[in-house]
Amino acid sequence: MNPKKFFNDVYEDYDKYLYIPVALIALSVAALLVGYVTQGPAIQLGQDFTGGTTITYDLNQEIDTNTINQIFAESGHPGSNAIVVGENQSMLQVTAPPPEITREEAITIMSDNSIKNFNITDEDILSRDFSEKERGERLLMLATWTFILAFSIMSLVIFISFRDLIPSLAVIFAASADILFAIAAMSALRIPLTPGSLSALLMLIGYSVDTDIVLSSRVLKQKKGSIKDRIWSSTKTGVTMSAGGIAGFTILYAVSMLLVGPSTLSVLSSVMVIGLLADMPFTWFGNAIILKKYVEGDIKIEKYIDLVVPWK
Amino acid sequence: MEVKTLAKEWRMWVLAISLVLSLALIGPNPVDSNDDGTWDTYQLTGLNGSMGIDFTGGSQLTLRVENNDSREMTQEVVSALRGRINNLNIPATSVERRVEAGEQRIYLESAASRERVQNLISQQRAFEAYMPFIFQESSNFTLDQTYNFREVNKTVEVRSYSEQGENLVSTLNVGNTTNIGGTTIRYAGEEPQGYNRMEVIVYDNQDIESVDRTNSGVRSAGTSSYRANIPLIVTQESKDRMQNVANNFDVSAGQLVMVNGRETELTIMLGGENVNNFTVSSDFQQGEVSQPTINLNGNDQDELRQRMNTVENELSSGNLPEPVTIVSSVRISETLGSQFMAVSVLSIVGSLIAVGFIIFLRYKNPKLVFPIVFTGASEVFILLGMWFTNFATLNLSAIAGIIAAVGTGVDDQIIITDESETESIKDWTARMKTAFFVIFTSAASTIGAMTPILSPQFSTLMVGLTGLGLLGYSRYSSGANNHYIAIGILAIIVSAVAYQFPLSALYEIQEFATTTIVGILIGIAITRPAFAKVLENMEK
Repeated sequence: MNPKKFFNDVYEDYDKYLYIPVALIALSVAALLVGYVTQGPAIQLGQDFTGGTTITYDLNQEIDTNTINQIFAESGHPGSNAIVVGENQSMLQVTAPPPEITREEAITIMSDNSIKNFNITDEDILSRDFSEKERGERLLMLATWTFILAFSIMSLVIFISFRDLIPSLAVIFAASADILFAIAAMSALRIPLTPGSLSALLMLIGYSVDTDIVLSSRVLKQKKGSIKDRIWSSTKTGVTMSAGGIAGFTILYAVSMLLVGPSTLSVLSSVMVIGLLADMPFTWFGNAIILKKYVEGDIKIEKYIDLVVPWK
Repeated sequence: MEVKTLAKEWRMWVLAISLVLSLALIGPNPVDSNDDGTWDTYQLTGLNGSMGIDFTGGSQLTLRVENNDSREMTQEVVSALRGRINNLNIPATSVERRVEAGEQRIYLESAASRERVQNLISQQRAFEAYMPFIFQESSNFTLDQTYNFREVNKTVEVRSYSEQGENLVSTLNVGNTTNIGGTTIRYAGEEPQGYNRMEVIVYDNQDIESVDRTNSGVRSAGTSSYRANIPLIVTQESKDRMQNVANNFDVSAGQLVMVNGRETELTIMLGGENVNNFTVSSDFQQGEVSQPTINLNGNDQDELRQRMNTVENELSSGNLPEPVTIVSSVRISETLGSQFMAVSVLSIVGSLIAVGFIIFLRYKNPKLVFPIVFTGASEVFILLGMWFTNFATLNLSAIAGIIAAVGTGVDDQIIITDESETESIKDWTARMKTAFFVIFTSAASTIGAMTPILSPQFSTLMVGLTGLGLLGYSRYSSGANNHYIAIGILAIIVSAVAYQFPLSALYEIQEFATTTIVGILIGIAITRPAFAKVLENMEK
């Protein structure tokens, strides 16, 4: 299919396509609500934000993770989550919520319980990572504020660059919808909030506005060509940009999953790929349509502002 | 493309010089890893010291000072830990004080083994020297004053005397200790013939001022048998204590003896292990001799010397002013570290190739692929050479930053390429005007989004000031609309609310933020102008 022809067809009824971003936002909100109802917090928090202990055992044998979860629950650590990791699936990784499990306890729990005893020695514990609950709460507070401030600064930069309210709001709308979608995807796909995925969300704040800035500056600052041409030229640029990003982060995801399995890098890259994919409809059907209507003079917001700010 | 014209461009020279400089700083050196006489691999010597534990393997600990986590005490513990790192000669270890959401914390990162790190942060190796005395039924013992020890129903009651009579100080079960007159005494249990054994602790860690290294050494003690002497310099307080304690014993043949006529022994415990038992000279009663010595015996001279050094280091490394608790700890194995390294290298190379492929698909022009991919690769190279060799630690978070910076870099080049093709505008500079507006706005928003990670306080201040600025602008400029006021007020509210929280840097991802920011700046200052020039030449 010829992309130019496809764009021409879409542009015929461009305004209708505003339903796509609206539907995606509704979907995101629904996913977050479902997540909230079924899992408690809408997104799972990683150990950095909840506190707790992660123990990696070297167990060279077939392991039933359910049994391991039972063993830990019986030993006073309900809510523990066991997974099998490593190249030959020979390692067992157990994540337990607070209180702390010491190295000695980690041995006793596995070697001395009423369900199944493993012959564990100190050497079989490959690693034990631990974080206090209170520290997790503090880090979550910091993460939240870092995010709010990052978003505020991005919005102010956009506003100061474009000065006009509607184009700025359109960019900020596209960026927020994009991040909302990424967070909803984290909830649906059970991707936990870790320093890695937090980095990805912060990176998305910067990344997702890139295509919007291309679009807005072409549509608003270029004097030649029709609005349709300007949107089309920026779509070509923007989609190439997104494609480059998506390709790069897909490779990072694939390589890291193949070589080490779930890690900081895989979490980060999956959130980035989702965010960059979602950025396309929000930019080209959301931001672009709002801009088009604005340039064509269909949106007048000044009178509403006058109602909110009565002294001017 | 005219190479000659490009060679006259200072922008190209800046790029070339940066690349050469980076190469020199990264310093790849050929290495013969399997000792077969031929060079088979390269070691990036410039980056050796910059590798974080994500790649080398090691431990990351956040510590809290127990009892008193004030800023001053935390700093003191940090200094004590630094002293220990030097004394114990632990390589690749850094320690610093950090404020985490208003709380004083110590951050420690080390590539050393778990045991060594554990050793580093635990209190000094427990040192204790005690002398036993025994009694049947009851006995007096004089320290600062006279105390009475009496056996009552398998326990020992300790009494002090005063004008009113006897006062019960404490009742000891086996293993219990009491502190009388600044001296700790332990009830060790019963011995044959109805004796009760008490152990008087004459020296412990607090009493060691230093190790007398000038007089320590390993000497031969018979055929293939060696002895190491480690004299300790102790406090005046403990010298006085030793003299007081010694005066409670009888003397026989120049040695202190217990009530059953057997010699008492000064027992030295190191890390819970009995290392020495000495008979004690009566000279201690006059306070003439007061320096305790640790003796170690062994058959291998070198091995013994090493053990001696370890003990000396452990005893002289200085105790921490207060003990520390682990608030969080992460350990990365060497295997996982090297796997992460492989992932990082492969992903960066792989994404550059993927970008090249997409550029080719879009422009159908192989001539464009090379400059774009080369510019991206240069950015990685300059980042590694100029930033990581000297200033930053290379860890996973930094790799994410490199990828983010290269991603924005490639985006910018696509923007420049597309703007350069705008045929309706003849003038190159005018074409680049839109391109650079986009590039600077996107750089400003990305850098702006990264700043709160490094300094949320500064970001809060900036948001607040920008809000005030918008209000001021709308007041004095007729061109400003009402929405300036609305946005200004909103910014001030965000800033005011954020100010109520004890915000601090999010250290977990700080390398990500700094790398992204530095990468974007390198792109804007060095690689992007060069790329634009190459493109301009290609057009002509």
